[in-house]
Amino acid sequence: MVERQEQMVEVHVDRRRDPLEQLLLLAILGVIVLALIGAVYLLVTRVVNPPAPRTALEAQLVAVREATITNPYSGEVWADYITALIAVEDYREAGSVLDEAMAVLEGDALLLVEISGVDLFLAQERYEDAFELAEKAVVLVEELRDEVIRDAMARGIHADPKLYGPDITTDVYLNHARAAAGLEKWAVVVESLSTAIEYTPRAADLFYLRGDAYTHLDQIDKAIADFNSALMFDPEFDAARAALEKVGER
Amino acid sequence: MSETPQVPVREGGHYETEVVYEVIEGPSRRRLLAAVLIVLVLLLITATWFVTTLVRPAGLPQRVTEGGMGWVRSIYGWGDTAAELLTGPVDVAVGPDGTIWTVSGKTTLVGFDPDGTLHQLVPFERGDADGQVVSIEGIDVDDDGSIYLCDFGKNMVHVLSPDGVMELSIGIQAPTEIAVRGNRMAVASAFGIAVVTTDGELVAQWATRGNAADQVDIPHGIAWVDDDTIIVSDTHNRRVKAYSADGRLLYIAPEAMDVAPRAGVQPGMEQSADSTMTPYQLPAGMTIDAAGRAVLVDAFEFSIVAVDPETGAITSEWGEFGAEDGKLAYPTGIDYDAARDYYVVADTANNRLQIIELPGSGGGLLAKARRVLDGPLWLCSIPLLLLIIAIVLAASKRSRKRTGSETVVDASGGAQAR
Repeated sequence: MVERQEQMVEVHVDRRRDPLEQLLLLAILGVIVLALIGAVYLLVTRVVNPPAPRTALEAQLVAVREATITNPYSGEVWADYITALIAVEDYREAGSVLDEAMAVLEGDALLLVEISGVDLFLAQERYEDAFELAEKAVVLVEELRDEVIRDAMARGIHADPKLYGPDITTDVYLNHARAAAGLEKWAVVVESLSTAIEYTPRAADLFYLRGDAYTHLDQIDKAIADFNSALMFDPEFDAARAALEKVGER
Repeated sequence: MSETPQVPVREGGHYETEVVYEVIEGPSRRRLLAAVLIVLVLLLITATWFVTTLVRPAGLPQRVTEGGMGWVRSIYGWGDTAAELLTGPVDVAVGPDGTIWTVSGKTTLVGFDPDGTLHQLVPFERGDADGQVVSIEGIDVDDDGSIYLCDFGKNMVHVLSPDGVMELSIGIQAPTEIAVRGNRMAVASAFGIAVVTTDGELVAQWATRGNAADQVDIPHGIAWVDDDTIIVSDTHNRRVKAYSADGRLLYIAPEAMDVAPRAGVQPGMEQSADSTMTPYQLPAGMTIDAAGRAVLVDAFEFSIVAVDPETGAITSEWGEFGAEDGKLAYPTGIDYDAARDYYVVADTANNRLQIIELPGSGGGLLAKARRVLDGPLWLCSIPLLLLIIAIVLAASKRSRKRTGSETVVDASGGAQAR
């Protein structure tokens, strides 16, 4: 028995690292090294953030950005640029461009940029800012319209206020309504859309949106009338049809 | 904590024992390693998601559109100014190393890596002098990477080294498209077809301009089906034709009998495809894919068409008009990259190249994997793949160790091992 115990002392313990651990350690090290090499490669080659546009929207952005350089006093160009930035979801740059454009432009040109600015704030769900800018745009469009009418009257011409820029005026009031809808000011939405409809009386989407606002105000009869008007002007307007069916169930 | 294994003693002074590795801290270290591994895997998965999101800009199309055509990526240019964007790329060719060559504004040769980054820019001066070009309409690349340009306006085919140096110009009247195979090139010209050696020696020449069976009208697509067969997009006759390499007509598709002749056509003009019977509007650039199909673009149909090169019958068609990525506007050129199993389309009016994948292309799994890894995702996918392989190897090794871990150690040998 004693002899057996003496023999057992000879059992050795191998303190080499476990091959499993060695392999895992090597794997971890290898992966980290590969990832670092990859990251450096991507940064150097700019694959992740390439200088060239990758999509149709980004390519359009290049074109409109250059247009602002060649035509810096065109509100349309700046508005297109902001719209293109919104499309690629570069809201920060769009905000900078909006500030830059508003500092440069005035009159009609400024109005176009303000409309795009409202689009930007709506895309960011900054409804307070959108509503504030939309209010400014409403004031500006009314000033510009009054100025045109005064000029016309001074020359002895009768000018119908509704003939002043119906498209741009509609856009201003539509955006005002959209911003108000973001704040759930449904009465304001109805008022703005009613003004927009005065300028563009056959626009199905305006009736649809006003019908939606009436639904929120629980004025179902008016909502149904507006949804029907929307379908009259655009029989393929599925959203209007669905909304009509929905209010019909109430 | 040290532990001594219980060892049965064998007769003759031998011990049966188990090799114990790092017995003091082994279990806790393994747990630590396992935790690190899990964290690493999670990090790589997160990084993969992050890179995917980062490299996926707003406004991208669904990867696979209706009909099975898959969009891989678009290439718009090599910089962020208007001067660095592609302008009306008329044709495209993929080199043996995967470089995608195209021509911008008829005079600038541009090469892109498969991931869409700039490989090389070779701007030519417009003019008649040596080394200048007038208007490049077609392009192809041979197995060595040499580049062949059809200079329609200069009546020449230019041969360039793989790094874009013009080495040879061969006089061919109004060349529109070229396909190189071995040391021969098939050249479609506005006035006929020619087979020429890459050194410029004429091998065969046939057809004249017109719409009879033996004529062509500004063909803008040509490809070698095999060493003896050439298929041609007879563009303005709105038909596809196949020839033997020496010019013997093999077929016309659609066949003559399918084509209703116009009122008042001249004798010999009955083959004209100027009718509503032809499925083509303006067949243009053409390539052969791994499945052996001829795949061509139809500029006015805004589509990509797969054709059986044996018969000329249309087997599939994809594409729709639009400016969004994944749609086409007057495409005029196409080439197939067998190594990555994708097609590159010169989407001319959209001023871009589009890399797409089509069902039935015949590409293998390796090519598909290579296509994926040519994108920016390799940053994460390769390490992740390696890590998974390492884990699987480690697990299998551990399993083997468990089943055969006992060893017999001599008493004196044990002392040495210590």
